[in-house]
Amino acid sequence: MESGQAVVVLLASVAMGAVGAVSGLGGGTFLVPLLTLGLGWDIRTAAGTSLLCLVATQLGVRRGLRGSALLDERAGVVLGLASLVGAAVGAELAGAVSRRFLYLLFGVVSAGAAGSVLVQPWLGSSFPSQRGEPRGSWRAGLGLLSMAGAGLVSGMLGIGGGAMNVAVMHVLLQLPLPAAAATSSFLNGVKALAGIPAYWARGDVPSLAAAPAVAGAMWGSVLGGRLLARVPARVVRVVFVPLVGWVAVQMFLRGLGG
Amino acid sequence: MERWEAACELLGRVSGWVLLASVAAAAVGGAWGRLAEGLARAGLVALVSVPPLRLLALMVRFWREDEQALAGLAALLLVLLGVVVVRHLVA
Repeated sequence: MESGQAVVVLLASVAMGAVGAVSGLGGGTFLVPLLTLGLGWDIRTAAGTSLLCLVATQLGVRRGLRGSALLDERAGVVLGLASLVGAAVGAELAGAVSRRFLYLLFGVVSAGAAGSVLVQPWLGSSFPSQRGEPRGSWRAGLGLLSMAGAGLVSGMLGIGGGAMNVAVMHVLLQLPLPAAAATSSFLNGVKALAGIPAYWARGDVPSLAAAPAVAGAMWGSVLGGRLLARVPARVVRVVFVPLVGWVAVQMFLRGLGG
Repeated sequence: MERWEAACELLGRVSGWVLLASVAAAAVGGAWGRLAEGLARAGLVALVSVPPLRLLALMVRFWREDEQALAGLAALLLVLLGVVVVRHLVA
């Protein structure tokens, strides 16, 4: 990679890491399209790099969570198993399916993420629940299955799938939203680790090319964590929903060969 | 346990700086290019080793708090992660 492009990737990743942290969608939703549509990377290389960025951004988020009681580590360990299996399988599948399929799937998932940001305020008010509420066994079973599915998509596309994680944990498993969001970041680390070896073994993660993206995402997530409290939720919806919607359309068009 | 957590955080920060150093070394080019490759690999390995170390700490904490089932699940997570890594290293 030329040094000029490395600097571009570094700066863009700082921005994407910050945007991902502020929007709550994670960096992958923005980073993968930036690397593929913007810089012409192969989607598998972008996904592998994004998984590494996911670990890096999780470190930044974790710094913000230190000392807080939000993270439900018990739920994290249980759901982590399902996520891990899903992500490991997804990362293997990413090498087997066509690039067009990966683009189309990314388009669908991005559209879903945009929708989830739109409905966030209603989710928060419609499902008031407390930690420790009784959870039905069918809910737990469905929750585990859903987390495995979310892990599969994460492993295939190199995204954290924060929107999917939070929806499953909040709606199905009835974790309070802040706890679901905090636990989601824990799960992202597990999913990323389960997926990275497959990408690494296929040669989809060139260390030197990934370095600026990962370093940028790490510092960006720290920056985003600081900005988070200052950016109103309404601004997040107004700015990010059209942005993610645009990403969804572009990835879909790429998948269709347009 | 807090010391462990602080050590993990330090490792994460160091990996970030090592990765940045690799970007700088790559930008200089020439003989620095090979150093950059080495730094990038070292930084990425340090980075991905942080979450398993935290998981290990979590497992120990559950065990000390007499939550053996959860400690067992955390151990299973670690073992599965190890299996995934080793499978690809061997292949």
